[in-house]
Amino acid sequence: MSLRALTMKASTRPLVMLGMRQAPIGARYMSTPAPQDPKEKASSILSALPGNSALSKTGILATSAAAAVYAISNELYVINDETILLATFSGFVAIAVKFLAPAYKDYADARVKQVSDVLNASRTKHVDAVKQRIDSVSELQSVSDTTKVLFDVSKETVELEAKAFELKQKVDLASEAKSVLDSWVRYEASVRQLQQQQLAETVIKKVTSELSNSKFQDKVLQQSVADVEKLFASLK
Amino acid sequence: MLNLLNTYINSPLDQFEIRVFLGFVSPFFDLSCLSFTTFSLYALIVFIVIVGGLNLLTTNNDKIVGSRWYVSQEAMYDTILNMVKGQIGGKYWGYYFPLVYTFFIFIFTANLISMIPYSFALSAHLVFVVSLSTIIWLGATITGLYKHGLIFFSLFVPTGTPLALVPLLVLIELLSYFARAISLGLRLSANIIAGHLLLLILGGLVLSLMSVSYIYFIFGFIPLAAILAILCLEFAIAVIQSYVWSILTSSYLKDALYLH
Amino acid sequence: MPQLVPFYFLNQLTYGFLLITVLLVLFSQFFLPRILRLYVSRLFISKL
Repeated sequence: MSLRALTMKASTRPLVMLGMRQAPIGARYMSTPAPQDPKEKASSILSALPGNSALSKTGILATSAAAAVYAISNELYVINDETILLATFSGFVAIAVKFLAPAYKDYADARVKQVSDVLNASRTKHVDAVKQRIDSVSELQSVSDTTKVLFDVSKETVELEAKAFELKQKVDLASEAKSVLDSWVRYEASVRQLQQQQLAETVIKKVTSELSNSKFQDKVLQQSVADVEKLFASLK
Repeated sequence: MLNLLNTYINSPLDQFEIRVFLGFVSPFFDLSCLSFTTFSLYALIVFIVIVGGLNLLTTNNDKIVGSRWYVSQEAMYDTILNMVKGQIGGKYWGYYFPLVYTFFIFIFTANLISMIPYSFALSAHLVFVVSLSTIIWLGATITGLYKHGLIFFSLFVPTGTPLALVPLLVLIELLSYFARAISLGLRLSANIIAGHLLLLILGGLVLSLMSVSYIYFIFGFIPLAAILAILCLEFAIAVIQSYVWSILTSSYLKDALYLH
Repeated sequence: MPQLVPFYFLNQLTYGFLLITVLLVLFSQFFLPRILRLYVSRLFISKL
């Protein structure tokens, strides 16, 4: 059935059998590689030759063949045991270039990259640290202006304080004077009060002594009776 | 016409032959020890590779980050530093670290340069390498004797041995101590010589296999793959032998400095 | 092994020990301190 399918033209081939697989082979194994240009594949040997253009390639090939033939036939180069070693050594070098060189290149590149990464990382870290320090220091940028302002403010403060001290002294003086005058006033007032009190006391004493005097008592009695008669006469 | 008749037998030991490039001749003194030979040429090449190629050109304009090439130097530095600190440790490891590092780098580079075809193996010359190891051993012994006096000989009595076995054990320890002088150098030299000889002999065999006919040429690529595997092994041995030399040197220094 | 027992002993020893001494002086005076300085400066920068 599958052979018949293959003998038909591709456009008329039944697509059913192409989907079935006999064995569970891994899908990636069956996948085709990237389609190589068949011309490229066919000319891979030619492109491996040294030289850039077709002319130079043929020229180099022809020259090397002619040189080899000339050297061997004129016994400039004798084929001996060491020729085999030359062949094996060039085979070894070819293997080394094909397999060992990329591996070493990757290893060396990884190592160089690792070193430069470490150095670059430490450089950026250092740059950041320096930038942070610059920032922290630049906060004190206006230090001179601030000190000037502070100085002016402190000067004003000193002046004001001096003035305040002066005023305070004046106030103290005034209040002290006031208190002294007040005390004097109080003293005068108390002295007068004392005098009045004494005066009143003497008057009262005199009056009471006079009252105890009988003549005065009669006098007072007569005067008071005359007053009461006067009052009765006015009321009537 | 190709000269297929070899009138001389080419021995695989020819790769270690030393030739003179520029000789020093003097009627008064024998200055032939200063002549420029293959040995001195490759010593110069090792010097240029180590100093110029690995240390001066890779520094990436003295940047702190370093370059991909310099990562390898840093990796070697870290390895040897941790090894020396672990082996010698104590108060004096810092004094001997540059020495061990120099030995490591020199033998590492010399071995790797000798792996290139048509090159020359510096560490395959027994005389040079064994004399170097003897001098290291002698230096360690003199250091130990100078620091500890006659108590240095307590090195040969391992801790915790019953008193009856002590004379026998001292003799055995003494013998193994004297063997350190040559074993350190012989190990390195023998490994390098054996490796290079093996590769060359196998190469000759495979060449004679492949040069019979075309079909043998095609089938000869299988032993060629085997030689490729052995070449990879030789690279590993080249690196490991330098590390083994360094770690044993530090171990001998630790024995001399601290007397276990 | 004839090639390893030549008449070039003294030549090998001279140039070998010369190389080792020069390397030792160069490393301990210039290259190892440079690597150490690199590590110390990395540590210093990362631990500012």
